[in-house]
Amino acid sequence: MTLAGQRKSRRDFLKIASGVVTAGALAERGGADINAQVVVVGGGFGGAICARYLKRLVAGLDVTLVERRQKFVTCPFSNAVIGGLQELDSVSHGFGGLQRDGIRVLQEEAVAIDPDVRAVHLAGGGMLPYDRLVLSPGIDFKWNSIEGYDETSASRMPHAWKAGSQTVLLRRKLEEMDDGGLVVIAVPANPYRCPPGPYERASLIANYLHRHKSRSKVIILDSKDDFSKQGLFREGWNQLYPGKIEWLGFSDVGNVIAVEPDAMVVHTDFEEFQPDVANIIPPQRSARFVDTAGLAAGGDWCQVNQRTFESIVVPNIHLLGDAIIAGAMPKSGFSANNQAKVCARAVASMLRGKLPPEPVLINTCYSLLAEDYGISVAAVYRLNESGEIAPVPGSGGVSPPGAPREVRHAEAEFARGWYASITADMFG
Amino acid sequence: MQCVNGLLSAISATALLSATGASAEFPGVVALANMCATCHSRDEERPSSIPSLTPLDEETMRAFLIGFRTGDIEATVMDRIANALTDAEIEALARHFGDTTEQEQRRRGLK
Repeated sequence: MTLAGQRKSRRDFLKIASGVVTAGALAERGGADINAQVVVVGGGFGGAICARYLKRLVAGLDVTLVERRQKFVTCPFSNAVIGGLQELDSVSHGFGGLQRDGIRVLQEEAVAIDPDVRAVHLAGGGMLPYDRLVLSPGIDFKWNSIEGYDETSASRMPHAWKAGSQTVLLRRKLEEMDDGGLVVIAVPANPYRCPPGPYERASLIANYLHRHKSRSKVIILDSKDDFSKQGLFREGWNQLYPGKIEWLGFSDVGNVIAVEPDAMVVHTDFEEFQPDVANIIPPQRSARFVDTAGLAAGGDWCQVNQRTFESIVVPNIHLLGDAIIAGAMPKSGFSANNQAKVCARAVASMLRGKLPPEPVLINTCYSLLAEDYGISVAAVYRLNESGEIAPVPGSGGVSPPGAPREVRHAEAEFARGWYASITADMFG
Repeated sequence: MQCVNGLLSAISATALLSATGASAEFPGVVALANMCATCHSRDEERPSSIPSLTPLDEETMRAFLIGFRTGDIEATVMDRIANALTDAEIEALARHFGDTTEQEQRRRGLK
């Protein structure tokens, strides 16, 4: 499938490239207004940014953002809400800034795509025609891939991997737990949304327990044998929460295979646990909505041309963020933000019949271990010879191990600064 | 007549250059600078712990990026990012942010 995908993506690339030869030499910015309709589905880290940057690149462009929620609740910093360091309001954002930019924001649910007539069907019965469609739909869970874990069990064993009511539910369960109670976090195999997220969550839950329930502890049941920023997390856990976080990898306990929500039992291949609070982060896939146009081609994730973010399956549809495989980029809000900027430029260029510029993409993921203890991983990406997003050799990496506390403190401050900046970038 | 035409096109070429700034010399610089905004906010009403790039002139910007790349200037993250940039990109970014700062200062009547 990968091979076929690469062939298709090269063909698409040639198609775009040949368009350039016949196209006029319009300026990259400030070219003539384009009479076209772009529909963006999903108002998160990918969609909101793509809509805003498209409007900036092509002032007269008709841009509609479809988002079913009145407010977008970010997963970044939702672990700080779970740990009681801040409230849900502080990670919730409205779309007023996008409306002020001249973007039509429709609070509606997109339910299906019709690529033949180039239209999106809405739950309310309406239909939105598009010249180009941008989807940043996020993830859905593969319910019952852990036996017994479905939407109903998520009310007893929250996933809290889509921020909002689940975030609040997990926090309340921690608050209601007796001192001495056990917290279990189940973590899936790669790839999934936010690779370091589960370990930040374990840290900030341990932080809450340290402050309020000193006899309690956290066990992480991981489907992997190593994880993002592992050395830095372990160093921090030893310093901040000695003995409070126990990590059990795939070699120790195998996969989490089943749950019994009523009896509060979590089964792995080799062992069984009886936690007081269970946070089950289930295996994931691209949002099922993409299947209405076959964009995942029967797989879990959507494949795109990594220069334009156009689907390799259906033309005129671009995909961003957690729903796609974007070469070596992790599924993070930062990745989606940078992909959205590259995609906006590609859409603007392609509407003008021009070749989009060679992209440079960045990802930086901060994780908090405590309010004043932050760590990070960063990478810069360019396209390799096969047209795939690949890290620039010799660049990027993680925070230095064994760094003095001032460095960890500074990175916690920068984590909050990053959040303020990226949400201003998204919502104005 | 030909002279006048030549003069006019020289003027419009200059106007075009100054209107598009550094992007006329380095096509991807605006796209690259947009990536900076993910951390370095352009929203001056909501200052963040990550410094804004708008007050920096061209020389300071160049010195920082080169310093981060060589490791001569200490950083928490920018050292890991700047070492992926080429000389041409650093030069274009320095000019771009220098231009942006100058325009901003003019707008506020500071220059």
